[in-house]
Amino acid sequence: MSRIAFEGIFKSFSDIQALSDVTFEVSDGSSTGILGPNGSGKTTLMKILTGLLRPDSGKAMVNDISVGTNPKEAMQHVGSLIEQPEFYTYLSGYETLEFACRIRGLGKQETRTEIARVSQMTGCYDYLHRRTGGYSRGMKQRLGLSIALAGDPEILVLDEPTFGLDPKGMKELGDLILEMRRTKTILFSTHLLNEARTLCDRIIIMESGRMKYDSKDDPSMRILRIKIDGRINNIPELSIFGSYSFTADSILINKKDKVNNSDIIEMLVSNGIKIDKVEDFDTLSAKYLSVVEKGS
Amino acid sequence: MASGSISVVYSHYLKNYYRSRSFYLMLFLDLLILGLFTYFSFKYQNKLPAFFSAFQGSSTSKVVSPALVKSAFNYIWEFVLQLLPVFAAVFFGSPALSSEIESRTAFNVFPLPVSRFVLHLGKFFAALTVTAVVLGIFALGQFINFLLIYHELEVSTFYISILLSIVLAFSILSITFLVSSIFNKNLYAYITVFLLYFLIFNAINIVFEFLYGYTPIYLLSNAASIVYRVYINFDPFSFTIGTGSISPAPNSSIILDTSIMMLYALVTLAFSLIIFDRREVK
Repeated sequence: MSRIAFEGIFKSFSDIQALSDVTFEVSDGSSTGILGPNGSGKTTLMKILTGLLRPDSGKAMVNDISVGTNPKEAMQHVGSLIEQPEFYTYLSGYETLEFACRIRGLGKQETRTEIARVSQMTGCYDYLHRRTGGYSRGMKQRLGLSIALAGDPEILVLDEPTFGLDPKGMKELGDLILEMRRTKTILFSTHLLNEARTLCDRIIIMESGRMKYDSKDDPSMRILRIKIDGRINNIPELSIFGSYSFTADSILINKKDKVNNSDIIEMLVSNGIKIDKVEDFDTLSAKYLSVVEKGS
Repeated sequence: MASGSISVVYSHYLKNYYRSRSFYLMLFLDLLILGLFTYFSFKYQNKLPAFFSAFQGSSTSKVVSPALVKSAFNYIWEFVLQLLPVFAAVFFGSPALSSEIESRTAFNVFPLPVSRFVLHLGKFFAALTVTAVVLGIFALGQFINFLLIYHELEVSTFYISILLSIVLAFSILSITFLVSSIFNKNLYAYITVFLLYFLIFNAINIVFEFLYGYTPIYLLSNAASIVYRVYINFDPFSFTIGTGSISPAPNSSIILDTSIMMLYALVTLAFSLIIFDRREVK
């Protein structure tokens, strides 16, 4: 059991209504992406979930623990990366991570092991002993992600996690999130449609503080098109994921419930098939634009 | 777990403080003042009796007791010592909480599973520690100078005075943390604390002294004078406190002024804890 729930969240700043009646749940072991233009309320929602903001009404829950009334206990289950992280400039990345580990109750020896583990995962190991004041945006982003992973929390809340990373860094981080999806519940926001498409089982589109679209309620989103690099000669058995068909260079799969894109991709890759592109049949960008334009 | 967390938070912030530019700047000022005072102490030590003769309005033939000269020596040093906590607290305390918002460190610190109370108190005691280090260096300089010039140790009043300066540091840091918990910008916090201590408190003091002939003893700046009045009960900024007395402040004054400083400390600390706990990070 590790899940997130938002129940009737309203939040305003002065005369701006940032969130209006946001209600949804993120179930155990799923990866949910929140898409939306600037000012749509994505980050506000994540800040409420991590206790940085308090809702005017409604509540955010983590594993049935209210973030508003019991933030410390709720945050034991959550690792987060909110906005573009900054750190105490006179401390090294190692010391910053050490702090996060010790706060999560790890002993000194466990902390050393954990720092080595997460810094290897996120690729910040090499510069961990430098002071964070000299870090680039991408380095800070990796260190921020390391803090989110420290102590191995079962829920990850990531607000635009690939912001500031170069294309190689974005790819590596995407792979890492795919890897983490096996064991964690992930909620993340992004501007990038491709990122959401590849990394999420479910996509929520927000606009003007309201939920405008939820892929859970949209069967068209369940069709996946996988474009193959080269010609298809030997297709493995994919019926465990749903019904499927293929052309000379593409596979179309109408996914069953709770099937992750990454599982399908992994099976194809393990059968020696090179993947060129993965996209939902009803293209997300068209859906996104239609929702946002309708809203405006 | 809470005490374990607070020690983790304390050591984390202490590291950040003692490596900061603010600390080295404060240390530089501390050593500069210490150097100047050491120089002037050795150069003018023999002129203190003559100065006090004039001050007492007596003839030059009147003998000024050696005890008074030694008290005067310490009084002058302690006069500076009571200003150091104010500057140190402004350096270390004013940006303490506002910088979490301005520098955006709150985004990765506040969502950690640790209460804001623990974060606040850990940072507060780290700031108090570096302030105490700055005070300690100056006090050690005073102690050594006294020993070298008068070849004796005068410890009991010295300890009381140092302890009172720590209480003052505790008090003024609490105020700076309160101010810092209100603002999002460090600069506003710096300016507000300086204005409050050096302008507003003094303005209130002057108004009461001139208009009513009464010293508002409850002002922190007045209570702070006990740090040097433990040697000679005379406050140069007040028309009524001591009024030229050359004896030490009585125990009742020490207790009253300590209580006033502690009251400021506890009330403002409580308010800053509440505000910081409810603080939103937009």
